[in-house]
Amino acid sequence: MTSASGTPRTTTRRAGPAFLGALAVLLSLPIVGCDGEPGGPPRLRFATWFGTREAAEMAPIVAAINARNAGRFVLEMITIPDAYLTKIDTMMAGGLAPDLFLLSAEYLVSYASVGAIADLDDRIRRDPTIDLADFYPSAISASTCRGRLHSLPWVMMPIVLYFNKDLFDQAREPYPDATWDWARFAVAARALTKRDGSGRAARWGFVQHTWPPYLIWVWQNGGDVLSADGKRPTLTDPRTVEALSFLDRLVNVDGVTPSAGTVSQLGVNELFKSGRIAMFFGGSSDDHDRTPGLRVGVAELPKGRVRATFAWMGHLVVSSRTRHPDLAYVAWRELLEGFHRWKIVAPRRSLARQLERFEPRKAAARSVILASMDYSRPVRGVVEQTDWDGFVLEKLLLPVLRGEERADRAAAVTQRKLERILETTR
Amino acid sequence: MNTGEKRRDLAGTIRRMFRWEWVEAYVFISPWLVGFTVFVLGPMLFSLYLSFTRYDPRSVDLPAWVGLDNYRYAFDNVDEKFYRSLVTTGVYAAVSIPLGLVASLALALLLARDLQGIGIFRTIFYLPAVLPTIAVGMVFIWLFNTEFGLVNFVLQQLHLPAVDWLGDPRSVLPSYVIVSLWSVGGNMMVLIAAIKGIPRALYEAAIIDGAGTWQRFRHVTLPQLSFVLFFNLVTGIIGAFQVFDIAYVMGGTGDRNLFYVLYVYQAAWSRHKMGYACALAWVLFGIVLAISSLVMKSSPLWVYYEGEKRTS
Repeated sequence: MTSASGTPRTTTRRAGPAFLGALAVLLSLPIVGCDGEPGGPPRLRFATWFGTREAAEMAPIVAAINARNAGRFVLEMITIPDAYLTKIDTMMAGGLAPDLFLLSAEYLVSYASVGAIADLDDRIRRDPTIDLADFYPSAISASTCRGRLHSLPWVMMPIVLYFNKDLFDQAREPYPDATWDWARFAVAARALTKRDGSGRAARWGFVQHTWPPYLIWVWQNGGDVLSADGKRPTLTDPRTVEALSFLDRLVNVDGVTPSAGTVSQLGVNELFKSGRIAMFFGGSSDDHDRTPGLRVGVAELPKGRVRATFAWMGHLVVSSRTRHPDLAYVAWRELLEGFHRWKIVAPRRSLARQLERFEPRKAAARSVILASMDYSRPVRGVVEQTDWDGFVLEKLLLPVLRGEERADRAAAVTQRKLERILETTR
Repeated sequence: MNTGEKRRDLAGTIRRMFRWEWVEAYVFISPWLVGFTVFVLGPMLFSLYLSFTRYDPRSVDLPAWVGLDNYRYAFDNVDEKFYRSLVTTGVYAAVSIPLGLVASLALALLLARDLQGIGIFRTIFYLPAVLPTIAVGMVFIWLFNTEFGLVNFVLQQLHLPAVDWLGDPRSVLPSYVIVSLWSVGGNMMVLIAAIKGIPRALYEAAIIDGAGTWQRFRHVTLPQLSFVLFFNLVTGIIGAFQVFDIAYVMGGTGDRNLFYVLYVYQAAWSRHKMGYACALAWVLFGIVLAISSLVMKSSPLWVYYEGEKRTS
């Protein structure tokens, strides 16, 4: 038989059903590909932002947990080294959220407020294996949202002062120690900044850009950016403005830091490691004191009206969407213990005191780190944390650091923006 | 026509609709049809629905209907970043599109000549157009580096001051325009093909009439290329309003690189306002549709097809 156009039809007549069949197979593939739990123990997925090296170090911890819980659950580690939160959010939106995942402390309130992470308060407080009294108070406060514990940190990293001993020796400046205050810091920063014949700085006293957190300047002066009840931004409070003005003078009048453009293109870490920065605010567990070719010392942050430093904290949280909340809690507890015996500094006093056992290379900085832990503070997150951070950067930090706006004016503008953020989420 | 005839006619129509050829046709286009429905039409309709809701992708709650609130939030001058991103994108489009058209036309006129080895130059100028945008962005971050960048090195050799390309708010947008000009090779190739297609007889007739170089360009070349320029203009407008990946990679101080689509992305994934981001996306759709329609409407005035102006 031929079609109207005269072409044989037998081939196409067979091709149609065959094509339909192929299409049905193709469309059914995603269904076949869905991972189920046929007969075996439930699988719990645990997402991290670790790169290759840290993931390899983490693998034995996960293997040990799986060995201890053989037959109960299987813990699988997922590593997302890039665009971590975007991928976690996408997984949540798609109903494929990992059972457990890492979360930076400043986002805890934001994720808890939309019910994305589980409230662990009752479980933690009932758990006889967890001694909350052993945790640093700041670790507990960083884990609490609306009075309820949603997590506990797996690591706590207070900011300390790293300094390049060679640059201090060349400038005949004494090394920083626990007696330093911020006025002494400013004197040293000016002395350590060296300019060439044309007046351009070749090296600088310290570096300030988006790192270190501006909060260290505010807190050391007795100021804050959020009221105690979390309902009002306090950027225009006198002590906060005074601290920001002090930073403004150091950057724009004394010129003891590289320009914002230089920092953004070269990076704060790279500037210090290339020997062009004398004093550097870094995390206590960072390896700046092991920079090849540099002799680096570690000191506490200078003291201001109060002793304070910023501590970055990492949380391990349980997804509210997990299908196995009881098992996920068991895995959470075991992972937390594994982290505390791997990463420094553990947010528990008993383990922090043994930090050189977990990281022998930090033995020399032990006393500085432990002292800093006692007065370190976490950032207090808000529901709209990203908006908050965006306005602080755009309206306060960058204009001040670039010398485009005085600190008090920038603080006033930012205050209004932040008030609006808190109003919309109240 | 009585009832019986009507019924027979309807039955005939149905039979014709379900003729085997039709079934075969739909089976063969079904991969595209399924793909389009699942991956294009479906998400588009869903995003239209989401644009009328408040929806945080992290939340366990379902999207909550808020009517036109997301659109009001954008247009009632509440969201200053909406206007800033719109202005940034508009200025970028207004500068980069005409410059790109002129640059691609100039290059095409130079490279359309039949000279020995001209193909090498065509390839060189076309190559940037086929490079991945991310790679181009990474290269330009280094070229624009204040201290070690090649661009500032050349400026200094010419005794001109160095520019903090991505660190100075005033130079961020010009940096992006420069990057856009670097990849005009695609448009250039289309124009070369069109130039090659212009009948020689038109030039010969113009020469006989005493037309000089400029007059031949103005009255022969340009009208004959107008339909290609029109195509490049429309795709340029759409492309300029969709700038995302290069801005995501290259950055820029503050948010001077806040192109509209980058802001849509930030609204969705940094601020977790998915409903608002969808509304922004539909606003962009409206803007691009309106501008493209205006350009289309204007085309009879300046676009020539087969030597004639289109009358409708």
